[in-house]
Amino acid sequence: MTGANTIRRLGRRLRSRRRDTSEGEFPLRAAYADHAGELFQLAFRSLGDQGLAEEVVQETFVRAWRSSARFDERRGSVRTWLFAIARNLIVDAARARAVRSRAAGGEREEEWGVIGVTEDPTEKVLLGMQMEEALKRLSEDHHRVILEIYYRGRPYAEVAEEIGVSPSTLRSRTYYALKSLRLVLEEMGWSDES
Amino acid sequence: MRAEGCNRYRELLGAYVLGRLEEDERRELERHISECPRCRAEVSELRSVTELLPLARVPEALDEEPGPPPDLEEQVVAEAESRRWRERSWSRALTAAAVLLLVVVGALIVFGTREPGQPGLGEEEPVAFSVTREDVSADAAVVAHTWGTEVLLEVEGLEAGEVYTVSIERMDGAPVPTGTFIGVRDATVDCQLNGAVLRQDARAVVVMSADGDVVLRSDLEQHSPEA
Repeated sequence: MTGANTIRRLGRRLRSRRRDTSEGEFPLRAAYADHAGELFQLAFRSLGDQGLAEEVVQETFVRAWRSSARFDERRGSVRTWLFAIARNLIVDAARARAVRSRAAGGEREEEWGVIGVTEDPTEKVLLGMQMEEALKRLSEDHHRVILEIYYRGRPYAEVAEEIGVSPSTLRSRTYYALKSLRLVLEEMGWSDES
Repeated sequence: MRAEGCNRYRELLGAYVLGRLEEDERRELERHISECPRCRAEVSELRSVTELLPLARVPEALDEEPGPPPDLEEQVVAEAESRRWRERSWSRALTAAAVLLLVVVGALIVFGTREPGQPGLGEEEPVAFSVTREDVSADAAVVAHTWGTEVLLEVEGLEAGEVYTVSIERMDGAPVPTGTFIGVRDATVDCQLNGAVLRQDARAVVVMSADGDVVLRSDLEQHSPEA
């Protein structure tokens, strides 16, 4: 009896191992829930086109799902992996569009060589998204001063009065807010060297 | 005194890099910066951060930015599944085609290289026994293989409990044993034996008792490779 049980157990173990490896499912829905928003943002801002952005997001997940056997969690997060796939797709889409518009513009053939050096539109977008994340991580006071003074361009005196501090306090707060913003960015892996 | 002066200027640096100092304060600060390497370094550190500020979007703008449409998730899942299915049927079709190709190539090798007059590999070739004891009945066949010759043997009426040896006799007369079996009186011995002799090198199939008496002998048809 024990022998048969052992064999049954072994069979179960082998079956479950096969599920874990070759049949291992990439958690498609979970990954979509966690990253689709960000990936769409990256694609939309890089390409400025909602339809193209949707295509990029869809293709990113489909590719990730198909090649999930190659994904190694020890080498990086799912997010890093998805972003790498999306960036390639965005660059391809941007190039394809450049080719189409040049062809439509009827430019001479020798000028087509320029297409090869179409810059990666995702670089600046990613920096911007990183900055948004960094701003979110600032303290309430620091976040607010940068938002009001820089982004909304409001006068120091007006903002100082609204917050209830002196204009000079608000000015020095701007300085400390920028200092901590730099620190947060560095913690996120950003560097202004090179 | 100097450090204290720096502290006062430091607090202006934030407004300065954002371009939000009054004209006179800005001039005064720039004069200090031109003389103070530490404040100059500070300005450049802050500038590399403020240069990135325009790349970010303020919450108001973010709210207006479109997001992925609600039905995109279902589309993604459906597309992923249908593509995997297509891939699988593709690979199934490829596997089937590969297997079929192997069968065809294998058959061509087996039958295509067969020389005339030679027994086909894997084909049963019935053999007749020329020497038989009256009380013994036997039926046999040999099968030519690339690795040697297989002997299929059915015997009835042999001495119960006696050990018999089946051999294939080579052209030079040397017997190559293919195996042994024990005789059973009232039942048929049905056995399958293998010998390391190629069919074209085999002359006979011989069944001997333990005493060395030939119980059965079947001379095989000669298959010379040239024939």
